[in-house]
Amino acid sequence: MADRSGFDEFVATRSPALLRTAFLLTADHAQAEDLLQTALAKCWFAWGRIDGPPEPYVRRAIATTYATWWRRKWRGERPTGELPERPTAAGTGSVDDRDALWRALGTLPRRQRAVVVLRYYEDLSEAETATALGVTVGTIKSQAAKALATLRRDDQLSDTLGGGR
Amino acid sequence: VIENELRELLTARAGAVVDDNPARVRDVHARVTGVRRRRTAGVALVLVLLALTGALFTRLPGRPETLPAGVPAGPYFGDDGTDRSLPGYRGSAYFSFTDDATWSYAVQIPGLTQVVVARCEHPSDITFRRLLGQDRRLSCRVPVGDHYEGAVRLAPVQVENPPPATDVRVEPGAPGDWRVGVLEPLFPDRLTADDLAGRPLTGYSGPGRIPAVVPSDLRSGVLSIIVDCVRGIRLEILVDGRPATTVACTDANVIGYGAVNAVIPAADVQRLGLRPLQRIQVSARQLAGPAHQWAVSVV
Repeated sequence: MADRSGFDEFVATRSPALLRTAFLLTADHAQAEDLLQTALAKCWFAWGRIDGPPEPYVRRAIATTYATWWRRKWRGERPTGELPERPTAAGTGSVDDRDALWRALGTLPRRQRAVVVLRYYEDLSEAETATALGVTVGTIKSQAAKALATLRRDDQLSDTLGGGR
Repeated sequence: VIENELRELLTARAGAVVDDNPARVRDVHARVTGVRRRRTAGVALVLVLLALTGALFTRLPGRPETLPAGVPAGPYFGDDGTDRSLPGYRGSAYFSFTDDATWSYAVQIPGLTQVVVARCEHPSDITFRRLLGQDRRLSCRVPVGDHYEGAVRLAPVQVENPPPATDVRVEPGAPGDWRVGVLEPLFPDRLTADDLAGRPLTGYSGPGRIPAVVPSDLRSGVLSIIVDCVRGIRLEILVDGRPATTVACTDANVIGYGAVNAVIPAADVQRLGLRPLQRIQVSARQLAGPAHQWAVSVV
């Protein structure tokens, strides 16, 4: 019988942060809930085999589930990002710029979006991102470059965001 | 620039996430239960498919579960290990063993097609070393009651003076109780002129008559006629040119090697208007079966 002590406590304390990551990946609260539940259920079976802190393992499960199984489950759906806005503490761009960038983010392929979220929200290094997604560092570099290029080419983004158009 | 914008955007959007599910732990365990249930069902389905595939595989050509052509239908043995008699066949040389053994096999009648039958506890093959001069394999895989059976047909052996018995090495492919035996067909495959030589009336001699005498005591005596024939022959027996009875050379009627007995009961004798000790002429007319393959004798 695998030792799953600490699983419930981990879920209770870390699920708000994990849910935020899942939301950034899916851009939909209901899908984020489903993604997180699915990833946590997968981790429950592997809990006794996790070596070291469990959070990186769980984040990897969220990212890989999103990039693979998720692709099939939600094929054809495009996140719109139409969520109730909350006031944010600070911001350098306008609300319109943010919305445009958020919508542009939703057009990225899922693996590229996962790379963007892990690199720029989770602040993982390229090597850590590669480990989390189970790919090489070179793949992470190319996926990130393609993602940023796509965003820069987006017609609805202002010049101040892209800078390169 | 865009990297910084992305960082700020993602942080801001992450902050917009509504409160976490307070029942998260319970919901995750419910999801785990569902996954376990599906896995169990999946494993059960896989096992069922494997069992079905295995059953199908064992029935593929090369692993026959049916008897080969040219052998009589079984079963050849009972569940209690007894030897069953088959219409039209005579069993002999039965032998029981559980491992490699030597079987004393006797060629009863040269030129006769024989059938070796086997009973086994588990489905398997058995090899007979130098049976009638060559190695032969018998598939014992036809399920019969609590055991399995198989048979193999042996081509006729043409030998002038068959040995009284031949030692045959038997090598079963699976452990357990084994029993083998030989079925000799009581009907010959064919009769030659030599076989029928000396008989009063034969299929070779064409229309003819046999002089006979009606028994003196019709209460106990009847007119008895022996017909040597191959399987499938049907004859109409005539007394003084009038139909008296018919003889069918079938497995159900054979009484010995190639011999079928027909009787004309007392009632028919009286119907024909025959008297005790009356001299009569018996003749035969072939109704069915291969030509020239019969002979008639009046007892």
